[in-house]
Amino acid sequence: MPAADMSVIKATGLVKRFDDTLAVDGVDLTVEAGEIHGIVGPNGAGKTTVLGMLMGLVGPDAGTLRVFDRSWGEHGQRMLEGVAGFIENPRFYPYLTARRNLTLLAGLDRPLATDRVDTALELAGLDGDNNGRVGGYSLGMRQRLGLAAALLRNPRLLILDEPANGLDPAGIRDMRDMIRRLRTQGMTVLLSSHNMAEIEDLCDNVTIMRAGSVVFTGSVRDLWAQAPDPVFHLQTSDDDGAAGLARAVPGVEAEPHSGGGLVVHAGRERLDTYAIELGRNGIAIRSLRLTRRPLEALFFRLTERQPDSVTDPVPEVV
Amino acid sequence: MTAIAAPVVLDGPGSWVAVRGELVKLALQRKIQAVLLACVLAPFLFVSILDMQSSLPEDTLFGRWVHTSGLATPLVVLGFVTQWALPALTSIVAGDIFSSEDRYGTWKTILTRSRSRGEIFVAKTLAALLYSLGVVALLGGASLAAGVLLVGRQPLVGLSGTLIGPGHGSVLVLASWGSVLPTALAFTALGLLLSVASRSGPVGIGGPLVVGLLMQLASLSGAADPVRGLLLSVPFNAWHGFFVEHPFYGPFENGLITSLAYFLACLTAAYLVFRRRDITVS
Repeated sequence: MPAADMSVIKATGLVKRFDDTLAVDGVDLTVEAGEIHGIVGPNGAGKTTVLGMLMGLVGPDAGTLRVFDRSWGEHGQRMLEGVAGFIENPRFYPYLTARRNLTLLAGLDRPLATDRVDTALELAGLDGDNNGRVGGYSLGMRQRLGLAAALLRNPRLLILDEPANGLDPAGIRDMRDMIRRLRTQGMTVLLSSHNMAEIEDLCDNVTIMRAGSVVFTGSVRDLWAQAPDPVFHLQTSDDDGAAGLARAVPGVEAEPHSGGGLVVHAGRERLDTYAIELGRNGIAIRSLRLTRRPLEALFFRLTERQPDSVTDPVPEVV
Repeated sequence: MTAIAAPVVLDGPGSWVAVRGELVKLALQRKIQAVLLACVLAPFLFVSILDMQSSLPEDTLFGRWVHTSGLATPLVVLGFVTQWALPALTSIVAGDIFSSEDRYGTWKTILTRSRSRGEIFVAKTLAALLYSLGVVALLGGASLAAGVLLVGRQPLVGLSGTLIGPGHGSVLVLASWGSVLPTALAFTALGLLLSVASRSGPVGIGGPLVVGLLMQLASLSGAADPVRGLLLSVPFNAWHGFFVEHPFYGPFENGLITSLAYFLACLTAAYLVFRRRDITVS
């Protein structure tokens, strides 16, 4: 068990090269006990390689890595004591059932975890559906099975790579609830995601990677402090009048949208003021839609990428 | 530094659970079930077919005696399977037991548990060796049973023309099948090496078969005489010396050394490749 002030993960200067590709370039990562730490970045940023190093699948070319103050060099596979999770989509033997897969995996754990198979299946919501071969499972069910396989180890550090991948909305909700619940039980969670809304929703701290390097690390609160205002698409009964009125409200910027309506940059409180002013001036709001979350906007700025399919569909707020 | 080194340690019952897990995975695969079933049934089918035809496989050792002594059956089968079938049969598991994890993408699933790479390597290797042992035992046992049950336990005419009694003949038959085991295990080790190094099932399974056939061709050529002792196909015939009036065991002993050398070299190379590889997850 680590001392109270000891980092669960302490990585310094991690470097990994695959042939001519520098996948990870001097990454520092610190994860404290009991936190949910997000690691985000576009495809190819190096986050999965970092997770692979943490789980002993990939050996770093340089740098130091300690998990629960243990290292591969000194402790070998024992570095993974108390650590579990999955990287990319969890994979299992397709010709076996979920239960048989977990039983086999339990045989690879110390102490043997075969008596925890039922509990793990139940925790992952697979207790009623585990007799079919895994080859017929949907991606979402494999994600659940991946979580069950991780929980089988009764970990203190859970490493999850895109855990919501392939899950339906109810599954995503359940997965997030479970992560929160595990944290309340004292588990530390390292979570990779493309989804800034998920990071915002779940994480205490976040590390953002781009092209193998860390471009931000800190609390989600610190990230918010750097984030630009959210962006909305506003449609009114008088868009020209609404644009003119925006100039009179401090902290609100509005410009015409190519498809009609206005693009409005404003914080929540300023937006409230602006909406009240619109009403006072007899301009009706026909729709108001959040088109870019602040953290998502910051993510793009930090990772220098154009918006694509990075985020959840944003619900219409009016 | 890409090495993720850990010593090979079988440190308790848990390690044997890993071996058992590998055996369970094999036992639940239909192709493995089919192969093992074929090993049992094929000799009986072979004898039944021979029974229905008047001609004999006289171009094979003991082929002319298959109707007169049931002990000839396992020897004819042995002569046949050592041509190509044993390398192929043993490689079905050995050549795919590592690469199947690549195919299913399950390395990241099993290597992130508590067992070291060394333990996983040992578990898979032992499972493949046990399977090969099982194939040889099943084929040999079923051949002997098929001969004895369907033809009878008559004396066998040896290679020197002398009669070998049923009791002694049975012992020699079992010894003959046992004599090919080291070579079969060497081919198993070759399959394991190809499976680890190529990460491809077809290469791991087909490779030992191709190597075996090439060595057979080479052994037929006089040009290969200087390296004859290095050919892994040659020890498969060492049992011929058991059936002469004055048995000789030199070829068996030489074959044992050759097989052991291949076995150790292939397993060492396979382990070194396996322990150093990165499991790239994309």
